[in-house]
Amino acid sequence: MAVNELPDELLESVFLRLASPICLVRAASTCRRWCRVVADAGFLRLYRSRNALTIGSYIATDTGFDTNSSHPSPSCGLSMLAFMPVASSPAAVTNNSDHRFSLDFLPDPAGVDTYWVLADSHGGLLLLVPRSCYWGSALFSIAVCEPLTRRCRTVIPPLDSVNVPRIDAFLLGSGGGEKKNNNVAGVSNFSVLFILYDNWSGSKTACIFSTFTGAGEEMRLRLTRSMDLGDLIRRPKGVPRSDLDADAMHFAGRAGGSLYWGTIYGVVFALDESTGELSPLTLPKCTGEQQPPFYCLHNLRAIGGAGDDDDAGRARIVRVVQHSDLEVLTPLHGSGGSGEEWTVEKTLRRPDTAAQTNERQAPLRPAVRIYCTRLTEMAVNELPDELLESVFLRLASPICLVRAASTCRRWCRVVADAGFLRLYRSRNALTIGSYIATDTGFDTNSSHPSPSCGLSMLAFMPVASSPAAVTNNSDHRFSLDFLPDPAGVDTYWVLADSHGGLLLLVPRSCYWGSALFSIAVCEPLTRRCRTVIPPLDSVNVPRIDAFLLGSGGGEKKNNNVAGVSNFSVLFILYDNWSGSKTACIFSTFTGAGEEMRLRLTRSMDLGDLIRRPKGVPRSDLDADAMHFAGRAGGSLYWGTIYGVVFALDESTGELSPLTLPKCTGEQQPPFYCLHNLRAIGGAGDDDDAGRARIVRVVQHSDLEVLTPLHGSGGSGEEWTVEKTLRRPELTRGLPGWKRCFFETPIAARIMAVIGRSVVMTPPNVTWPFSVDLDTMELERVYDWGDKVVQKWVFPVEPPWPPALPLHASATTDSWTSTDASKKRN
Amino acid sequence: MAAAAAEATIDGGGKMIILISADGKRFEVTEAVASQSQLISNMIEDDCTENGVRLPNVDGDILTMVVDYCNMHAGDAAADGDTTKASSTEELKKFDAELVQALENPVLFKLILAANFLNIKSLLDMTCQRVADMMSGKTPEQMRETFSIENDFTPEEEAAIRQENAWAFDD
Repeated sequence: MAVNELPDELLESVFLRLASPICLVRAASTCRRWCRVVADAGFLRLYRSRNALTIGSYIATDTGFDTNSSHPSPSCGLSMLAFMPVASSPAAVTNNSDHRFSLDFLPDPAGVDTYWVLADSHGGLLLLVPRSCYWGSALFSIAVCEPLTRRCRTVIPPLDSVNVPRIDAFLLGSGGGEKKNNNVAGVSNFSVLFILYDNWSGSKTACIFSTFTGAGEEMRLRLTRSMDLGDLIRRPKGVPRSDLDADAMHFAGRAGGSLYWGTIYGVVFALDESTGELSPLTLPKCTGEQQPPFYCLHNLRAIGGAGDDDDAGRARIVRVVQHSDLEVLTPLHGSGGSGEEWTVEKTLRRPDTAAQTNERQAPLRPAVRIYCTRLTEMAVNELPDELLESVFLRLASPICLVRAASTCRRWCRVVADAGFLRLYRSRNALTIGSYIATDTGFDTNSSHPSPSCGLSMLAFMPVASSPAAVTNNSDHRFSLDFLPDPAGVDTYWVLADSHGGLLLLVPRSCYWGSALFSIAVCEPLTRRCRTVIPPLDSVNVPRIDAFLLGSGGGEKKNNNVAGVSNFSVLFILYDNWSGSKTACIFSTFTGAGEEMRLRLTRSMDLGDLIRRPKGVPRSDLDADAMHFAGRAGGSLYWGTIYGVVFALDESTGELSPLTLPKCTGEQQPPFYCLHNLRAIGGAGDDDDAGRARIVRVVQHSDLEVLTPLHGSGGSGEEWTVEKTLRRPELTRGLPGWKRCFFETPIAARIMAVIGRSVVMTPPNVTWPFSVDLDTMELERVYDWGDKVVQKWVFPVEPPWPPALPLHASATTDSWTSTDASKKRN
Repeated sequence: MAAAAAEATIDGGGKMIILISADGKRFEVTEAVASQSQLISNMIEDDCTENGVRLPNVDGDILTMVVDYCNMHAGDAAADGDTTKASSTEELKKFDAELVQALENPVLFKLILAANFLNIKSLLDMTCQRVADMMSGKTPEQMRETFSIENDFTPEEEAAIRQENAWAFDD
């Protein structure tokens, strides 16, 4: 459907909504039909009543002396006249404003040594008078011109008085009291008002002249109204004569279709532009003021109405009373007609208390943009070190921090400071992303990478706050081509664990019971790798679990993040012959010949923790009695089939059993396995994120979330049930639910922990659903399938402290001192 | 001090304090408004604000902004749980967001100095965060351009930093 299928009245509705008359005229020029619709007199009347015709403003620059006047001075020349379009208008009018405002189409004014000055402007018309008329020349011509159309008419006003000592000239809107039609004044159809001041007689007269077409089609002016202002500005009895009597009236401005004047004898009067009527206003008395008030240029102005179109037509008067308060006056009933009373709309008390008043009522929003002016330059490096630190501490990503350090020496020095780096680390997560390892091993219920977790599908995912730097050439970074091959034939590296930015790799063969093997610790971000042979006692190691420990593994308590030559590993050794299980922590040290080696720093027999209690029958699963339950809050957790849960604190290396609340109505002790126990990171903000939580399935189907009673989770602390999710029958609402899913004795098992959600399923079918531990909301998991592939997500931290050449000595000291202590050992 | 400030606002404004900028501009503010500055709050406690508080290292223009900021934020420190204030929280956030967006280099740095000198924690937080945000996601070259920083590293030094911390750079 084309726009021209709209009927005329709908086109009119559209055109009425064009905010700018420029748009309207452009629309009318597109086709005959639109032109006809727009040109319709009724439409144009309607358009005018609904829209402001203003397309911009003339801006005249007045170099006259009396800048307090509300009227152009006799020095207001035309050379600096400019046009400023309103925001809603297209730029059309300004594009060649030079052309429009050259005013080269103006004829010269009659007389010698004179030139046109701007007396007034209304609508698009300018009223020009010769400069000489202000000097008392009796006979002069005036010019009315319209720069937009480059039209101009000059005409001689038929003034009676031979001598005109002083004159004020105004261009009147809307016919000057004679013509009541809707036509805007044009260069051949206007009215002017002269206020004639006769200094000899002291009389002041207002004369309105309107155009008419005289003999010979010549445009001429005729006097349509002449009013003596004597009554309005007469000195009341009792008021002493003043030096200013000759200057007793002052123009106060044009507003709402009237011109306003004030007198020093307290009278304010108005001339209605459309009727030409002059009338005094009935203003409210000024309180506590000299009576009558003394109105002058400095304390009285007329001003247009506020706000929307209805009000814009109303005039307001502002006056200064009590020498300081500003009163805003409006007509009582809105019309402002002759004889109407005016009332005080609002008062601004003493401007020096204005700020206070504003603050107590609605705070005025200060105009922000105005601030940014008049300021001398200041460079960022004029900030003192401590403020630079304040800024740097707020950089969310360590990548940004290191980039900032690389911009200049000073920033590098500030960032490299050991104290600053410590503070930064305590306030910001160093995590810049995650390694994602894809594990194709069979037992996807494990909480630890399987021996099948190869390196070929390792990927890096940056966190949202980090710049893309690390990923841009992630192919390069994660090719891991810098890894040496593991010792031995027919073997390859598999991922055993990851912590910080480090990967712990073991040869596949170590899972087959090879006694002597080397492990590798590598940092893909820096492409560094170290291999080392752990000094294991047992000749035969049937099975091994390997973990990379955070924060020094109970030996080093400094703040340095582990690096490829500074780490601790935990081995859980399962000796199937003796049935013993041992936890061994190995830490790096620099051996003879500066070679990095591992030494056993702690060895703990797990026998006591996983011993079968008396009265519990021997099970086929005794050999598999303990299972890793996950890493959370700086500890590693295991559960046993005999109902014990124990933890190893990564920073101290301490092993301790947890005191968990009893499971109600359950076999005692509970049988913890991979399917019913997991450790998981804390909820919410940074404070909590460091806390561990334990989730367990009780009563074969309820999910309990446990937290340490006092938050620390330290050795021997009691744990308590934080919340419970009753029977997965709550999953009833989820799509695809079937009753039979949960009719088995064991109704739900844990499949995996993803972030802060636990993925569970009924045991006999794969129908996964997730439980968000923060909200306890259930959600069906669709993309699980029957996959035997698990993705492991390990947070990545960059090497810390970053390697900056201007390292403060303190940091270097701490590095060398740990080296030295290693050497001593 | 917070209690005293609250009293002052409740009984209708309380004592007024005159702040005088380096270029002699005077600002009259209530105690509640002024004591968001820990510096001035301490001076109020020590009763040394009678003749106005001279702030010789804060420009009038900057002090205008600081006073506006404090006026806007006078409510949240003093009157907790006041419903009228609660409704203007949005307004306040908008004000802060607009203020901080409008800030450009020299003004921003001067405002940091002023907030630091006057010890107005929330303003210091906000302005420092703004600078940090302007750095985030930029390369070192873009940072130098943004902040007009001269690169005074030797080429060798710069190359070393980039190589040692390759994880933070694109190349």
